[in-house]
Amino acid sequence: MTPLVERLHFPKLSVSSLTTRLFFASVVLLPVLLGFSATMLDYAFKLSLETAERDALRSQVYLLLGVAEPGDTTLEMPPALTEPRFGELNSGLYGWIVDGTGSVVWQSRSTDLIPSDYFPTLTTPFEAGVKDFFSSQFNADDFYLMTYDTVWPIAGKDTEFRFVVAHSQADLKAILAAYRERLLVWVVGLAVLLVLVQTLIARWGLQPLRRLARDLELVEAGKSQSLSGQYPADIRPVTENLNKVLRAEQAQRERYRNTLGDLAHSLKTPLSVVRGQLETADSNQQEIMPVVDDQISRMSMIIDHQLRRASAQVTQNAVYARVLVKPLIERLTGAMQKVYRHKNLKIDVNINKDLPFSGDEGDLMEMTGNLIENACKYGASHVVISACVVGNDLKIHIEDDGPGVPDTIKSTILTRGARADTATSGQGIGLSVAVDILSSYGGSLQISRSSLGGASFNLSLPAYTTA
Amino acid sequence: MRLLVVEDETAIRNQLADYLGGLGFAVDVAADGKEGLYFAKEYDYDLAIVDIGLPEIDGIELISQARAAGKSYPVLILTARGNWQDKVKGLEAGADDYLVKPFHNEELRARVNALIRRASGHAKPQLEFGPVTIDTAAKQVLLNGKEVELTSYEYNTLEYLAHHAGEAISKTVLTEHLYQQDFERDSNVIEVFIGRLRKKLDPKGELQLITTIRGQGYRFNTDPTSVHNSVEGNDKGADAVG
Repeated sequence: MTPLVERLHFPKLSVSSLTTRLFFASVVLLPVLLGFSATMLDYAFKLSLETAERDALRSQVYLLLGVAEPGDTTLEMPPALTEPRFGELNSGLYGWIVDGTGSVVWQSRSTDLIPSDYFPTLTTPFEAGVKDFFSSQFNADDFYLMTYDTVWPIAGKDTEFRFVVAHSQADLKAILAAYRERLLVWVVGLAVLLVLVQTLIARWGLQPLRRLARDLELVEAGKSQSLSGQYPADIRPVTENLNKVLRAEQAQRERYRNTLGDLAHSLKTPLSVVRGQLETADSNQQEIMPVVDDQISRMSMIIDHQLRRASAQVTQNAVYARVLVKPLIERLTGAMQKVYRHKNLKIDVNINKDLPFSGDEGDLMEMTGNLIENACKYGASHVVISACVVGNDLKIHIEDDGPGVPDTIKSTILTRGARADTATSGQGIGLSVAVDILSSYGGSLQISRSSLGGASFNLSLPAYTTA
Repeated sequence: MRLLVVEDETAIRNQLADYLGGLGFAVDVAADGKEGLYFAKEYDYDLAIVDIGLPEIDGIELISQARAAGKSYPVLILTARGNWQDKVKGLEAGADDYLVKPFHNEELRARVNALIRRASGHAKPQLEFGPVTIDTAAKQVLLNGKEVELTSYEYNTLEYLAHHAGEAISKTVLTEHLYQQDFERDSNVIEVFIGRLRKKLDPKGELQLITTIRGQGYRFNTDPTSVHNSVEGNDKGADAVG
């Protein structure tokens, strides 16, 4: 049995696979986007730090320039500077002045512990009035350096001087590291938040699809005939088309069934005519009568069997409806009470009024009708029909107090269903129809002895499951 | 016994009419639901045989309407599809039994007889009235265990009266149930049949099986011996009847 939901290739899984797709898309996209953003933020911060550093160093250079006085042989610097870090040993802020020949003419007190040959060699060509900012390594540390080339008249002669201010990157690195740490926390937090929000959005966005799946299950369970309710415009074409398909399927099934019925009717009418004619035929044709009669019975059975098989196949693909068992059985017993009125049968129907069957009403009638009629026919005075759900099965028992079914024909009754077209005429056709339909539902039939004394026909069908 | 056959298939309709006519039934036939419904509502039949798939008005509708019109005679439905939905619908509409095509004439005869018998409240095919036994299955009458030779009209008259034992049956009703609708009726024939039946079943006039009720018709006595002394009329009184 293939439920409609699967047949339309719209199983539950595809909803979750949509979710999965969205999830995977975000898993791939999120790190890229967040990584890019983090890099950009990091870069911008670093840039702003460097700009601030450049400005700070420039101020320091100007400070040095401001206090420098041309002396007799070289530039003279005051012993103490307004920037205390220049006077502090290993403060991280160093200043020195080199002349055109490259020899150091002054160095701040903070550099006292650093041998002067540790100072980086500045290879850039001298050019008065030009500032340069770069990073360099010396004394086992990273530094930002700012140089300023200038010309001073010393002893009446223009002399080149290069002012150098170096600032350790250690502080900046610490700031950057702290920033990065905070950035990481933020980015991870953001990622978690985004995944969460995205999941919620996906859930919310896919809600109509879930509803569609649920509605389809309701249709499949026979609780509704079509997909009702408001769907978003995006999937409305899908639901509208599905509704069309459902309607078309229902209509086609009905049409197919009617056509089959008409076909059976139109085939059986000529058979009736032939049989009727045969029975009024002259006595000199008597010897062919049993043969023809037998063949008529056989053809009639083939029609019944094939009609059953064909409509069973229709049923197989049907959207199952929910049928209440009790009222249907009571219609059959009511009809049988009428036909077997003269027997004054006591027919008990022990079925819960809400017990459902998942399938076609007509099929349930065919499956139980012949069994109930047999029970009425062979039962002496009492027929009991009971039904209940045991596990996943709907069990229907039809019992009578008749002579029961001899073991020898039990197997014939049960196997005939499979090959009714080859069966010889006579009894059992009714049961073969029941067995045919039963097997199309994946059910089974067993015959046992009833506590009433007669036969007990036990039907087992898949139980109705709520979607 | 007068039957109505409603069947659209000409060949089957003719076969049914021939076969049932041959059994001694008066048979009216209709070829579609409309005509069938007209007959079904117009006359009191002893039984109607109705095909489910009829043009104009379908068999189930026909039965419902006939029942709604107060007709209570038994109805046998014929179905070619043989599915339970049709059978149950037909029975719910008011039919009493069904037969699936193609059927054997024997089967039909058994169902028809059983339905007519049951409609008159007799469960067994043998109706026993003192020394008289009417075997409705074999269409045979036994008097003290010995078969009585009856023509089919005589038998039908007796069976009809026996099925309505205890009731006064007018000559008109009797003629209606013995003859087809288009048959020319002669009520004197009924008197002849009654006379012959009395002679054959009760040659000495001891049983008073069939009583003539002045102005009303005939009555079959359920317990023939008990009415020994309450004779209400005789053959001549029947002149006023009908």
